[in-house]
Amino acid sequence: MSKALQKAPLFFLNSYLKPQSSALSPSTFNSRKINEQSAIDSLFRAHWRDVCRILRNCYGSGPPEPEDVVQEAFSRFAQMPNLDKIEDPKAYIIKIAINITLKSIGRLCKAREFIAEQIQLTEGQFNEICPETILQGKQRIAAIQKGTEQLSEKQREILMRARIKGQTYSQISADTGWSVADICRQLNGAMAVLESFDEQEHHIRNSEQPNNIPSNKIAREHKQ
Amino acid sequence: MNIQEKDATDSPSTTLESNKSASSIQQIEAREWLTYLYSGHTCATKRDEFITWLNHNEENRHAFSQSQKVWQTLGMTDSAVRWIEQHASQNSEPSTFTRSKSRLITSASMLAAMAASIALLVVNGVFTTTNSLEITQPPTAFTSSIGENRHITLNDGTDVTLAGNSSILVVINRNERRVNLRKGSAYFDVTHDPSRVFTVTAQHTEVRVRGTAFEVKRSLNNSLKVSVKRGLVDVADLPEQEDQSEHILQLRPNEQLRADINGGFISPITQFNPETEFAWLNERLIYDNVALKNVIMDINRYVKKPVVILDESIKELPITASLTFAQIEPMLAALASAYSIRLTHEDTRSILTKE
Repeated sequence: MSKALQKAPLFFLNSYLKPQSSALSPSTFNSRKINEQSAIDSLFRAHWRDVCRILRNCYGSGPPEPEDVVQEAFSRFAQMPNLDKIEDPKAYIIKIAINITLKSIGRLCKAREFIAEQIQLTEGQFNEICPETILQGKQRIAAIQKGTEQLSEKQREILMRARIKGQTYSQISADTGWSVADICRQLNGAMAVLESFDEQEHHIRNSEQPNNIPSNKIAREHKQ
Repeated sequence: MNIQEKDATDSPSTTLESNKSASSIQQIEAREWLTYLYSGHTCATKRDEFITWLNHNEENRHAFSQSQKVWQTLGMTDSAVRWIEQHASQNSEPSTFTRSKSRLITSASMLAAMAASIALLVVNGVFTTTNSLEITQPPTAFTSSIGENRHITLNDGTDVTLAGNSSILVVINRNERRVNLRKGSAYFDVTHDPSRVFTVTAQHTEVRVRGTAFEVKRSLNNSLKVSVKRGLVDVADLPEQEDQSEHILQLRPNEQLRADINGGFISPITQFNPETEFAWLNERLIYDNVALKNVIMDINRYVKKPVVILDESIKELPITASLTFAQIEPMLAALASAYSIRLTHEDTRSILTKE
């Protein structure tokens, strides 16, 4: 960059002329888009403070700062297609915010990268199961949701601390007083329940004859 | 297989036997490997064992992929949202409990006794064991507010300039000089001291110097940029495991390096123009073909109302501009008139969208 550029008060290069007609004509604005934008603004005003509070109380004050995460979450939410199909936007924004926060925890990133490398997933494939793209996987989410409802309180607490709060076994142990061995056992039991619900949903989706093995039977076997 | 911690009371083989009726051995092993890999207590040997297990047959790979999908999907459930809402409420509730008057009196007496003991310890520390008494010094936090740079002189004489909305934690004692960049960007002009290395850490990257001038900046996606103005700077990626060796690169004046959130170097060492890079020290921002998203990230350090780009298609728009901090508002308006961008002002933020 030249010295002249540094001293210049304010200007842009690389700009291009706007098409005058589209720039000035209000008819070019898509009314649906404007409505969506307005709805997102209302959502932002209504929920950003509470979502910041939730993130701060769960993950601390950063970095990344909860305010930055929430801004980013709303930004990603606004870019999602089919916003009108989302029943609970606030819950959705929280899911995106959790995802963003967990991606900033170095230890978890390393684990994800290691796993992605071993099972030859690209970052894109890894991100297929993320809030912004998950609308296609509704049935799988419903199955896992049903599975979480079958877990014992203890299993759910450990599972959520590990998966949603991103805690290590030692941190969970320090917070709850449960032994690391117990935490391992409970976590594996909980995952077994969820996988059985996921498997059953998979069979139902791929076959006209629903699988006759009741998932709740497997859930009972793994509940401790 | 013995995946979990050695002090775990249940060996995986026991778990295997008891679960055989419910699911296949591959599935059980897969979930145990998955929970192990996310446990926060992994080691290189176990990871190698995992690779061997995973590549043993296709069933193992399939089972592990299934477990991974379930683990990922869990974050999308309403149960996760309910849990985090409850967890946040529990964490924010103050601990409220009632105590009897006598108990309070007892507590007050105990507090008085403790205070007296501490006073005695301090007196002893000061007058009898001054040479050996080590007091752990808590870090001192320095934060700059949005809208202005902040200049600080640390007690070793090092000058620090924090960009707007930045924060550092500092520990300086007779043995060490440590700074942690918590957010934003900071420029250090370090006082030379051969006996104490000056280190700046951010995420998994550490910068080590003895006397030099450099900037460390957190960027989008939590990546990190280190730019050296004067002297020599060692940049190290801090290994996650103790058995891993760190990777160190040395930067010379006008050299720059970028690292990702894990400390991995994501670019080779490149040259930069110091007058452009350090323009913010003189309350000016200069960009030469820089993506709009990066320009906005810098601008947000100096505007009270954050600017948000709500249109993916304009985030990478190359911007070349020169402006002072006072010109940020006109610059945003000029953006809208120069490009096909719409600027909308709301109560809490300004929004940039494509027209």
